[in-house]
Amino acid sequence: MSKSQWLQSSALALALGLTAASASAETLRVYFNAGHAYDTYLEAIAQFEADNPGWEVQFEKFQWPDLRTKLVADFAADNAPDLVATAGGWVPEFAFQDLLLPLDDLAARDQAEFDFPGDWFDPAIAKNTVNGKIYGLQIHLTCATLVYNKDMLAEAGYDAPPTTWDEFREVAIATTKPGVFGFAPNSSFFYYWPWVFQNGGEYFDTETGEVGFGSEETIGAMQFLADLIHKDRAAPVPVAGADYEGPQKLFTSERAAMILTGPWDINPIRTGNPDLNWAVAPSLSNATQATVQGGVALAIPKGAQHADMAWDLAKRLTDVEVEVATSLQYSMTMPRKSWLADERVQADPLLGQFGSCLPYSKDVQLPLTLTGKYDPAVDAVMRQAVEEVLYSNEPAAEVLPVAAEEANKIIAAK
Amino acid sequence: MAGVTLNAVRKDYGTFLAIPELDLEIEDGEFCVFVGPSGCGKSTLLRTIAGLEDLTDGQILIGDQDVSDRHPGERGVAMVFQNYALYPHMNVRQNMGYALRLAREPKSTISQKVERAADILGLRDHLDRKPAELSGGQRQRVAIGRAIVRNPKVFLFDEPLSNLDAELRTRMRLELSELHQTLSTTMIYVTHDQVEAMTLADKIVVLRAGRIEQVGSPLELYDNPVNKFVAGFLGSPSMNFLPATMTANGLQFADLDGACVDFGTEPTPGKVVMVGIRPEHLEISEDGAPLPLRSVEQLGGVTYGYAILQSGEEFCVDLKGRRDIRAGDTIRLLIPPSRALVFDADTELRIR
Amino acid sequence: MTYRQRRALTAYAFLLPAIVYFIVFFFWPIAIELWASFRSGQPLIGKSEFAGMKNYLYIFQDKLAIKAISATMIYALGSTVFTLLLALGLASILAGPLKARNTIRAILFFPYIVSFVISALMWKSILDPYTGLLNAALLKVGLPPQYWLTDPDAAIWVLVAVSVWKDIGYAVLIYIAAIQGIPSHLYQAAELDGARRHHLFRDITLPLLMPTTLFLAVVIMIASMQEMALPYLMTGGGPANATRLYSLHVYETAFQGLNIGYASALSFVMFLLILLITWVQFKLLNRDIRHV
Repeated sequence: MSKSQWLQSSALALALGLTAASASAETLRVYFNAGHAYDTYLEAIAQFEADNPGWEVQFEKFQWPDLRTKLVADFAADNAPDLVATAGGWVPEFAFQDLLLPLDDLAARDQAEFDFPGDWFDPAIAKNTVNGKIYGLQIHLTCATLVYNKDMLAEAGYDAPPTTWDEFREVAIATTKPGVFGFAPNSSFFYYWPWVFQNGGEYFDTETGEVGFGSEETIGAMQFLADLIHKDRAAPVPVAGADYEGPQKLFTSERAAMILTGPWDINPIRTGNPDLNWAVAPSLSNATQATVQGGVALAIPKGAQHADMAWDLAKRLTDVEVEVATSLQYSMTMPRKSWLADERVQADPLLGQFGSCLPYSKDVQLPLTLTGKYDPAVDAVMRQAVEEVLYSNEPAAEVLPVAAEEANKIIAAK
Repeated sequence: MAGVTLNAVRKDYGTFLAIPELDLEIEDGEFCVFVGPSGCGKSTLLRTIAGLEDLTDGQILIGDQDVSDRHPGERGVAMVFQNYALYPHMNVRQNMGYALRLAREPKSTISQKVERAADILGLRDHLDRKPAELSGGQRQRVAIGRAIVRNPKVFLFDEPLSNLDAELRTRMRLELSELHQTLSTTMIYVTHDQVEAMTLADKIVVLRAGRIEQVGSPLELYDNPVNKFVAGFLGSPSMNFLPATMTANGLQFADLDGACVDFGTEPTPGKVVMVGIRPEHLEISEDGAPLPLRSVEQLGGVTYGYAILQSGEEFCVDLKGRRDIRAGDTIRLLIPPSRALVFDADTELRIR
Repeated sequence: MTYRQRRALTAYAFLLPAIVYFIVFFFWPIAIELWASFRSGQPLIGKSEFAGMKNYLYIFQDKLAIKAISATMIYALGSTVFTLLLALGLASILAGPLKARNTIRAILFFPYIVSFVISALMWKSILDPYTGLLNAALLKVGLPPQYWLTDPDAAIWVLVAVSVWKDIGYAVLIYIAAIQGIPSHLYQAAELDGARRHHLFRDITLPLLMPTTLFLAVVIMIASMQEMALPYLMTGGGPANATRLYSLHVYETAFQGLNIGYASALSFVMFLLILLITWVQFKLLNRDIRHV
């Protein structure tokens, strides 16, 4: 890998941009997450092209980190696409950098035919609002919750999924046997936070301006997980990596009885093991019932050449009919109220369960992101501490407060 | 110090027989030269003595010790290679002292021996240089010095002068000769240059196709070669070979009209032979047979005239000092019977 | 125009593509990087202001950067040393008359031509403690399973091992060529000087391979210091940031953290560090060896 990859790519992007700009008069450039290039969206794009003769959508798909790398390079080269899908936290982050177009005027113009933000759940609007202006159009709204193997629980004598930590621990221990773990935790940072939230902890306290990482609640949550791994031996150490598929694979291959995941894993599990007898449970509660929230928002970069057309396409992609069709086909949960109210959605057991967790789900970094001081280095520091606890079995009470201090320093330096 | 004895030495490479079977005795202190054309096996023989090639069969004795199966480093031999084989990463001192270092001699001894050798070879001022910083002649001296330092029983030289220019080669030849006198160690020297062989050797071994053609002192071989090969190989310019037919009166030459020489051998009339005569042994006389010269070489001290025989072979005459003879002139030649050698045209063996 | 001028002009004309290439893709980005490294805010993508040495000084407070530097040093030194040692050993065997040597060379070289992404993912899936082939095999033969990828002390060495596996074929190939380039008469001369096999290796092969070793050391060291794909794909920098190599830290700082000024300072420091290490390696190892 090169000494300064981003500089080279920005130089390259600059060079490419010069040629692209002159030739793309009737081209709408869209960046999308590779995993979300659903047929329903491709159909909506085809319809857009049919309704707008002479327009062609250049639909580019990337994995999230690559999409972000490309986007940042594009911003540097002043060559941003017209419409871009963003993962959690990106919208406020880029909005603070003044890199995105506020959507309020466009929304107001089309209010009669397109009920935005009225038809969107409140969290889906809050995530995308900076200084009173909306910069992102939420397209997916998801949360992670408990997914369990019905047969394994039944075999261990449990007819219903656990609802509290104590029950969870009991079931996890009971379902563990050689080669099978009661619970498979995920190494991705995002998945540690349901435990913190359920124990009453916070990522960031807006009043003190500090992270909640050193709190009793966070320490308790991480120690609970560490004990599950090292004391009870009911869970494996999560395998570090760039992907988050490990637990899903264990679950699909019947080597884990329970995992935490979101609707994005429904299809991989179904296709990976069609005979698996599994179900989705409401999130656990210790101090409170809670879980983490994810999702994708569409945004229009400030430098977009065809903002109007991008908005037109964005409306089509978030149309209720498209949302319902997408969710039924791909099990993704959606941010629109009329989507949840649709009877076809209500009739789907898995969708309904994931949907029922949305009201108590929380966006992990949002409180910090909205202050404009979010830095992934904060997560890197915290993640290191979590991994020291989970992998090396160091006491959470010692490791976490030190990391919290370091994280606060990084925030203060912003 | 010791002599070298080869007993029924055989060397083959798979199906290729490099040395069929060879016996040779080299006396203690002798300067022995292996000579022969390329591919005659002279280098192979030398490398076999050094231990760089394994013997297929037979026995090699150095002094009275059988070294056939010994490691090259334990045979008491030192070798100077054609391309010097100096260690490029070591300076002259390290190059010369390497064998002693391996033998774990004390540093002071090594340094003493290296410096003594350097004095003999005039390398004193170059001890700290790397080979790349030396001239060709200096490198050659270092290679020799590396051999001297080890104080071997036998020195082996593998065409050591062939990479040098003519002038340097002559000088090094003399130096080697003096070195042999100083050290009086047995030396075995491989060359394809008959001048080196003639000037350096106590004993010359002429090889062809892995076999010994003749062994003897330089003059013995020069005067009394056993066959046409040896006769033609030694001497510069080479011996001339004239086809001749035996008659009752003596030998008649197709190329020398009217010349008829009685060599005193029992004639077999009609038999075709080759008569060998060295250029310097030909006599120019009014009584001789006419020979038109095609070209004349004036070398100052000597003058050579060249003719072309009917067979297409070249024929060389030493015109004895400066003469006013030019290309195209015809000279008259006499062949002194005492100097002419007769060889069987088929077997190439000498007929006495 | 004189002949000389025309000749010079022609030469420059031929050099032009290379000059343009280096300016556009090398010097220009370095200049931009240097400029950005002295700015805070959003150089390149937004507003920024001059910040003096602030970004450079922050490196000393950045625990992640310090950890990344030490991980990178372990990785770079480990990869270089083990690759060279193993390659040298294998090359000395494979340079000789061995029947299967071409087959073995091909096998060794294979990882070098496989895409790095594929080999990283392949090793990740082999070494996965729960779903990997290696542990399945270990369990089959009754051995305890390994947990290297989840062990903060072991993970960096897994990366080193994969990197060695990846580069060894290349290093062996270069070493074999170099060994075969050593004139055989040097070995013969040394044998006559009394050298045994181990002496030949120590006194002839090793010193004469010094320029090759230097070349390989510099190439592998520089590549390892810039390594990013391997931890990015295999470990995501974990566990506990044990494999967060410097380039990964720079990448995350720039693209995830949008701290482009600071990331530029980090890259520039790495640039200088590589320059320094290369210079030191040349000073230490470069010996003038010319065959005569």
